[in-house]
Amino acid sequence: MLLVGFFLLGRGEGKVCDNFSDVDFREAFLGTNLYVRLLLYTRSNLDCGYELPHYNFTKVPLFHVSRPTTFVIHGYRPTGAPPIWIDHIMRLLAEQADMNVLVVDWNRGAANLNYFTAVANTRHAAANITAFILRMTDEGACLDSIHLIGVSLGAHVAGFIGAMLGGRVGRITGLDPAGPMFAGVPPEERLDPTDAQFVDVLHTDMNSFGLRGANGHIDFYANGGSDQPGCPETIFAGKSYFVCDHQRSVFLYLCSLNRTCRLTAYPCSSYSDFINGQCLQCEAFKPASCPVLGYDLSQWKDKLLKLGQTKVYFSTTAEPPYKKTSYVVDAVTWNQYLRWGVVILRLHSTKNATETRINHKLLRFEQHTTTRLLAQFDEDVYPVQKISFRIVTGNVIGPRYKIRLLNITITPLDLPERPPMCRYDLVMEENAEVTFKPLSCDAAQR
Amino acid sequence: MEIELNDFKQSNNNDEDERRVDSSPGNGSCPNTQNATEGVPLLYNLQDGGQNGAHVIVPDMPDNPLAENTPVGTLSRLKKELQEEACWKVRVWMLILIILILIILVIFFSVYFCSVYQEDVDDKYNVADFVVPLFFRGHFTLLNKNLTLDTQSQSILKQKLTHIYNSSYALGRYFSLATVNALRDSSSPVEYELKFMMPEEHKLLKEFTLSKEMVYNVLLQQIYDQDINEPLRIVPTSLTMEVGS
Repeated sequence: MLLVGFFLLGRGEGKVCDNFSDVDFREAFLGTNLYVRLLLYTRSNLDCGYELPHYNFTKVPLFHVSRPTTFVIHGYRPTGAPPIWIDHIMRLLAEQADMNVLVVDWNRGAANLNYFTAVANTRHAAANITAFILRMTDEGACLDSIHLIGVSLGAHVAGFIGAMLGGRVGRITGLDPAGPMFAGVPPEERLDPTDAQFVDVLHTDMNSFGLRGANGHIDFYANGGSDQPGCPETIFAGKSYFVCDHQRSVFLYLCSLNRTCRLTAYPCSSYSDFINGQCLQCEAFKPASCPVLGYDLSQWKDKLLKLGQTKVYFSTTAEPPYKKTSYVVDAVTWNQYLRWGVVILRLHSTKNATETRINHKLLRFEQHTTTRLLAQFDEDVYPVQKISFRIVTGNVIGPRYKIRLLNITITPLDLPERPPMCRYDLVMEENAEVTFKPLSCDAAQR
Repeated sequence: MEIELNDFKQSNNNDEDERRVDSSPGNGSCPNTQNATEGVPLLYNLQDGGQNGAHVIVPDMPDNPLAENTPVGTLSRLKKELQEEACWKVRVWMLILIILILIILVIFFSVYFCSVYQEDVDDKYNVADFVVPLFFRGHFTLLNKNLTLDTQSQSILKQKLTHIYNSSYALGRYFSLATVNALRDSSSPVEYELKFMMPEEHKLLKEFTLSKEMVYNVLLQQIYDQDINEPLRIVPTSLTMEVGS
């Protein structure tokens, strides 16, 4: 008894920590049987996980059922190694609110060379956690304050838990829900909006490991939801070729939890419409802005629930903090004849410059008609001292036509504190650059 | 009975077997030509199945087939062929040269006609067509308050306005006159008037090019761009403009 008491005391002091299961490759190769562990982290034990018993957890002093509880559910682990992001997400979640962070460790079950076995285990893992949540509610926990964050296959585990609890769970966040074996299946066999009171999903790898389509009340599509910038395009890059796009969902979410990147997403029917500047309206969410990826979606939740399912799009850079600086560019020409071209825009500050090519579509410059484009820059150059604008038509031989603009307005997209920039009466030859000093549009509209 | 005729392929390579697929092996009368090469002169009658007497004419074999493979032999044969008359007195080499020159000329002329200057319709206008006047009036203050607006500085300001609007790409052609009124007293702002001339049909022009927004901002951005040390510097925020009649 004394020994047991000493052992428990030792745990309380953080001397013995329960870590995420590390399944070696040999075991993963042979296949593991499902075993679900719940590792508890709170603000008092961030450095030392505590494996919560599935029964009689009320006696654990660190665990308060009255607090909000967030479950972090990982996905398929082909090699059995613990996810590299688990420590980060747990710490960042604990920073958001005083909550119980329960890392669901189903590595034994998910670690399997055979993906289909891991898929089959999702239902059993979900049943196991559901039973635990029901016991939590018996002890006074509220389903409203339960948040399930599932990564890849874990997103479907979260969906199954939600469905088993009748969709009464407060929130499910799906980070790039797994696609293989879940594509084209009915909603009840995957994560869907009926699984929780509010379901938010982030898509980053829909064309291989992720799931196409919309699975939540709000679906965030980073860079269209498929290929992510900075991720290798050939198999020669090794492991990263396979996991980079899929794992980006976790890194984007971590970045948003960290508040180092504010990624505003715009409701749109497709990514191409978004990058063509056709979906930059946020009136539907007024007085709030367009939804921002992250933990706190409370200001958009009610509106999103009314809308049913909303797809929102945003672009990112290749590196953290992932945020692109975007400007809406409106130009009006007085050329009698129609001109087509792609635009190269460069912003200069006193120290540096940044350039972007809007070349995914030929732009149409028609007399007295506003041509709108979305210019997204990898770097944020501010304050803008000079702007260079070039219209590339691709004409190599023949006369160089002039493109005449009545005005050009360059409006920062999600930075309301920065005034829009204007310039009037510009003429440029096709393929040649024109550089001008912008005028504050506020002054121009006097 | 169906008869199939196969192309007889002549090979210059003595070592290469003449490959031929027997079209009607069942007929039994086709000679086996698998090993027939030009090195072994073999004239055979391709009369499949003894039908119709279809003949394949085998060209005359060179006296020494091996000589054809040497570079000298090929060159001399090429020279000989180039010297042959293609039609009338035009030899083959002349014909090749003429075709080459023609191709080059076609490319050259098409590039030339594409790149030749074509008049830009947007640069084409007749001032005489601009008959309807349009006025803009407003005022501004000068940064240097102590300055007295004499006739000279009044003229400088007028020139400045004229220059700004004359050099405007969109407004230059319609600009007619700028007037700067004499100053009533030193503290009051400087009043100005701008006159533009429009063509008879000017609905869209007034809406876009000669809109108040455009005329005002062309002036405003030039004021912002002006040299800080200019003596008659206009305070940008003081500029006002109204459409006159």
